[in-house]
Amino acid sequence: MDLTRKALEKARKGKRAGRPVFSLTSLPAVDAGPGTIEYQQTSVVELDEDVLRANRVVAALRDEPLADVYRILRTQVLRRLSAEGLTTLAVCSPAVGEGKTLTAVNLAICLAMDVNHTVLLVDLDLRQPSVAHMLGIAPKAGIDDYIKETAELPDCLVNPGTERLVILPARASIEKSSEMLASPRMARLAHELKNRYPDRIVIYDMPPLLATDDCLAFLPYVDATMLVVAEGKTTQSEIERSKAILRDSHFIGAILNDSAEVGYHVEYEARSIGADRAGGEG
Amino acid sequence: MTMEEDARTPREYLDILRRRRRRLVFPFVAVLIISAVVSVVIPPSYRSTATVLIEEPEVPREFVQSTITSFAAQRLQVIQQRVMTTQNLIEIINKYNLYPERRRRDPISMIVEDFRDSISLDLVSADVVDPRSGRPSRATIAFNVSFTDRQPRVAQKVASELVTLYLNENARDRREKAAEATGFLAEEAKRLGQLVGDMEARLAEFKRRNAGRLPDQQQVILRRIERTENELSVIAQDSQALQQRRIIVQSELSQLSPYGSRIVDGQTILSPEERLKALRTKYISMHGSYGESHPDVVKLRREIEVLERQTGASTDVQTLRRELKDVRDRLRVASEKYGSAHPDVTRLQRQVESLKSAIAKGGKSTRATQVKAKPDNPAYIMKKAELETVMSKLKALEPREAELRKALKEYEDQLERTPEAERQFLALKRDYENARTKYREIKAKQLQAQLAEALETERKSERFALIEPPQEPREPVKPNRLAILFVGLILAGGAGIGNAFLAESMDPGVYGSRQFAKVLGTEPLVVVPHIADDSDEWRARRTRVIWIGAICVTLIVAAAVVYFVLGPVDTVYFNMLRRLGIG
Repeated sequence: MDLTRKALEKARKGKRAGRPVFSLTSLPAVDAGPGTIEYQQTSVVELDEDVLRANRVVAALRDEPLADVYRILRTQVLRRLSAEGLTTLAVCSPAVGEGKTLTAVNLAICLAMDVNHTVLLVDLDLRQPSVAHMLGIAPKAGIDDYIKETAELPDCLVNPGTERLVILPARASIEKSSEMLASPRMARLAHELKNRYPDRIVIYDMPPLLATDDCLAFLPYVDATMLVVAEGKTTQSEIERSKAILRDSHFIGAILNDSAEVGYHVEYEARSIGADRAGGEG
Repeated sequence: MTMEEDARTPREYLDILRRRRRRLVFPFVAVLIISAVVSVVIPPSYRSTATVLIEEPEVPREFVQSTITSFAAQRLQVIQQRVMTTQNLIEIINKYNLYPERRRRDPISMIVEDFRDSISLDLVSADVVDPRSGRPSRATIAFNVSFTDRQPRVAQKVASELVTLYLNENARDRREKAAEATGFLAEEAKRLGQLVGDMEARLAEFKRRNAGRLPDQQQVILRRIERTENELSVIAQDSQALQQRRIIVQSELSQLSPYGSRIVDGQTILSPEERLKALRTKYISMHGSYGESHPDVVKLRREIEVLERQTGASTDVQTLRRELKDVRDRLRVASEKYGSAHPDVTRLQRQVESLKSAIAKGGKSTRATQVKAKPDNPAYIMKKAELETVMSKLKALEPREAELRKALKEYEDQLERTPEAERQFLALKRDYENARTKYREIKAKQLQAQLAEALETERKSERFALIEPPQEPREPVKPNRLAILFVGLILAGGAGIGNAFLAESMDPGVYGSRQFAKVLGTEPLVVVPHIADDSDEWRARRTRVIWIGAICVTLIVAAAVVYFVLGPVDTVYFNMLRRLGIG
């Protein structure tokens, strides 16, 4: 797979010459219909493709076959969420380094690419926030500021170039994160985020499940949960414990991240680069 | 989606191996290198083997039975024990100067142990049919003695020495055994012979002391009794015959006159008895006629008396009575015819009277006047002699009969007393018989043993024959370098794979969607592959550098080791080729 990647990368490098800026607006605009969100106050940021590539945010890259994987994930998630009418999803993982933030980011971007949906990505890993860094954003204010009541919500929102995706990053880490997450202000925020735009999908990038009780504290405020498991890194006992914690939530499934297992998408890669593939494995 | 089963798919195995490639490769390489080194470094050992055939005896067993009855395999074990004594082995070690360096350092007992381990004794068996029972069985027909050493020539010499020891020991052992058997049997025979002699003496003594009371003599006695009874009956018969003969002879004799009529000058001269008879007849008639006092009658009476005295024959009363009867008959006739007054009648009456008086007189006086005159009638004499013979025979029979009856009584007495003696005798006899039988048996066995001994001395019995003397080996028997390498390869593979799977099983992580599904209870929403980034490439580059460095270092170190330990490279190279059997 590395060889294929190398070949594709070479081709892409050739294409990229002369395109300094990556923009989600390259996708065709569609008539959004009623209830289109207009972010008057949200700051718009342009994302750097190299940064995105370096940080593995493949869903935002053009002609990236790996993005197909996240599209599959998108479809799975949408199906499960819409079946129950759920709109808020917490992306969890047992420990750190499993790729939870990456998954959340990629998933959010893919969801945003779907013209039928708008997405809000919230970085709730208050101790080690990484969404902003991953996207190459340096926010002026983040959710931590909002919780500390040093900023207003609209100041914290970031638009990376498309109206269908908004990001609520965390600027700096907070020490007493679980208390913060359990505070009434947070609860009000969760409520507002969910209900302001009823069709909007909110993706929460959660802190590690087992390391602290931050995630557990916030779970009542989300509709659904999803688990990210890293191959070889996550142990079975961690998974068991995570399952136990997520038992009371609406668990829509888990993903196996960083797997050496050769998937079907590789065969398909050669034939249809960039094409969507509906349906999951099976 | 269905749950997958527990069995791993081949793809999963490949994933595992790929995932654990380091753990696969390192042990594999390490073990392979070690086995390569081992296969090259082990010094070769050479083995020299002697083959000895256990030959059947030249004289078939039916003719001479050997006194050595153990199986060849058993004897071989015994011989092995005798040959491979520490003493013998030390001698051999000294003789051929084996293990020179070790002898300075190690105690001799350890060296002997190693030496013993280098010697091997293998039996060669074959399926045979046991001639006695007809059943198929396995018998040892040959054996191999081999010695293994670093130097081929030494291997050959020592193997030769060992096999010689075996052969000599076997021959000696057999001879000794045969001689022992003979000696033992000779002793036994002597002892038994003496015993038998003693018993014979006792038996004879007993017989002597209990003569006649012994069972075998019983037969004799019974026969004697029988014979005696036979003799007695013979005697009785003889006696009876003789009695009858006597009567006959007596009657014949009474009819004969003792005095035979002599013929003189043509005239028959009557024998005195005949004359007497005639005179008497005449007297009776004259007495009747003339009466008693007539001179002729008196003269006649005197003549008759003389004759009577001569013949000694008494006036036979019976004759007189007969005559009386005669005369009375004549008287009757005459008296009837003539009447009583007739002179004949009167005469006859007077005869009767004289006869009567003669008869009366006869019983008393006649014996006194007997004068025996010698009978001279040959017939009479012969008859008399015959009668006397018969009488004497009869007489002779009596004492004999008495003797026989006495003997018979004695024999019967003896018979009564035999049972007691018989019992004792039988006991003695039985012991004696037993001793004799045993003696005979021992004697027979002794003879056999002597034959067997001769067989051993002549080496005609079963023997060991060296059919394959030990050669100087050209090829080493050990180590089998290719085998070591092959085994090493397999072990390396096993080690590598084992290590890989061990690591896999010890890893608590989740690998692959199948395992994922098992743990989570549901298939993953998606499987996100590894997304490479710059750090990956950097890591790969680093790994490559490390590999190259490691290989270079290993080569340098190996070369150094080879040079310092084994000698200059080209020498080593040629040595190695030689060892592997090439060039």
